Amino acid sequence: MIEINNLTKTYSGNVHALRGVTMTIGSGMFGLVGPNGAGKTSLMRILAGLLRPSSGSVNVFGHDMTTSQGKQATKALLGYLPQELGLYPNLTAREFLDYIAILKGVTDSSTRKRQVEELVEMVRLSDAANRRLKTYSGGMKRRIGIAQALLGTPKLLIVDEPTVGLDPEERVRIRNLLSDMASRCTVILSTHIIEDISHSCNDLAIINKGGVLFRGNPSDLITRARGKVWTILTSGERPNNGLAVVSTLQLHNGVQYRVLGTPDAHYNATPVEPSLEDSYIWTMSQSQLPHQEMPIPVP
Amino acid sequence: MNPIHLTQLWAITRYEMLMHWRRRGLSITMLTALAVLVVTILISRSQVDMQMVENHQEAATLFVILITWSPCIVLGLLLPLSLCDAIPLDRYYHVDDLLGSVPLAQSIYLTGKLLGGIVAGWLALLIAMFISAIFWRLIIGAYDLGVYAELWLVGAGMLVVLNGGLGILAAVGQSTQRRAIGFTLLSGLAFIYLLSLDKSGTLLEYFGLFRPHIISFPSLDDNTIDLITEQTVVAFALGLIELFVIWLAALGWLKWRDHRA
Repeated sequence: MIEINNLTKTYSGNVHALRGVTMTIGSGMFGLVGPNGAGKTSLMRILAGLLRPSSGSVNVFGHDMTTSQGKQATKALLGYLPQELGLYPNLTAREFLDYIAILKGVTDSSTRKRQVEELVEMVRLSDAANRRLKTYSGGMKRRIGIAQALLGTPKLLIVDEPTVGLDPEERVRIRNLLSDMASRCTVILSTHIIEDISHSCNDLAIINKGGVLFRGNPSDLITRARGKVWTILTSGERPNNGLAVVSTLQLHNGVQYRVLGTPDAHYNATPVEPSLEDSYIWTMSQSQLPHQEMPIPVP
Repeated sequence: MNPIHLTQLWAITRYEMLMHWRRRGLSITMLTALAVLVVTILISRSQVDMQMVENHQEAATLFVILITWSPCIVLGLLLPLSLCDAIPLDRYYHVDDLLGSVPLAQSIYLTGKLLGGIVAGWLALLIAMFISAIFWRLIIGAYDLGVYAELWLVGAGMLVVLNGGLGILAAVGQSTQRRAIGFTLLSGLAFIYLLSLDKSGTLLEYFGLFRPHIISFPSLDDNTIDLITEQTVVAFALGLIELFVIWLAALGWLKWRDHRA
């Protein structure tokens, strides 16, 4: 169980990355979604013990992350894939994983070797595992990043934008891998790709401008946008009057727009069932209305 | 120190040494030292009675030691520049986030980096010593291998530990390889200048990077080549204290950076 209470992070220059975030994260796969600069990475880095909060508290499996003992104890249970993943270019994948495994406390050499072999197999890099990392493509590096995060059988897995730069096939593979892991440990997946969340998370939070806009499960989020999603067929004229266009499809008889909001009657709009992406965009657009200057933290 | 810390220390030392060898800096330093040896021999041959050197082992040994002194000094002075990027490169490659997320104490990290660099430096020394030993054997024949090894293993060896270590620790706050080299070079010169303000010259002798008491220019004393004196031991002990003080400062900087995050 991870308990976050009234967490704030302010960087120099009075930049507020997190504004009083409060939430509890249980077991399974938890999705943290929001636009770039929303505060996701700051929250992930605090949970990973890399960043000190300005105020508030974080408790990970009973360890207080505001103390150095608590941080060290949490790090022993942690698997972390940072957004900006760094690797040693002159080491091979096997050497790099062996190195990180030792640092994570996998001191028994046979256990370590077995884990490394299982993981390179799992991320499908067995054939390239003896090549130096500087020869790897972006996708291969990302897969090694996933593999290193899984070393030492972590109890908490924090993955920050794990599917960025991956091709669709790799993205699906990584999503499935993380879903499998979620049966064994708590996985926190931070992303701005809604598709990743919709396929793997049963619990999520939307974060923007340092505050939590939504906290619940995907079906609750979808319920929010029900009755607000429409398709409109026009001869090419783009719908306006405060409608948010989420997709445009050129058809033989005109242009079909998928919009969020309440269209005027003359559009002859057809209501459709919202997707998670629609609901996310609806929630984000509601938070940006002029009468709401700040996001409202939801406990 | 618990067993996990020891294993972590061993892993950092081992992989750090490996990474130093897979970069170019150390090889360049070693080859430069060997090139200096060859150039010095070529220059000296015309000024020495080579026939006497080749026929008398004592003369040969003296010749070998007088010449070998220069690559040892070169190795000791260039090593800080080739090892100084050890910690900055972790930041440059963005590996520091990953290292920050594992249960690794900063003191273990810093010591591992230090030992890895020193071991890599020692390996360069051993290779250079071995190559030049064969070289000497081929060009002048028999000479006293014990004295020769003493110059490398004790004199240059101490220089590698102290100067290499200082290079690694001094650049701890830098963020790129280029900055690390620039900073190490400038701070080394500034350090020598500050020590030279002591008019007696004692500070420079004991703490300066040339370390004349550790790797002193050999002289014949009672027909024996005296490389290690009581002063050598004192100078090395003082050098180790100097290294420890810089280690503490570097550790303090790393902890302060963590605290600021």
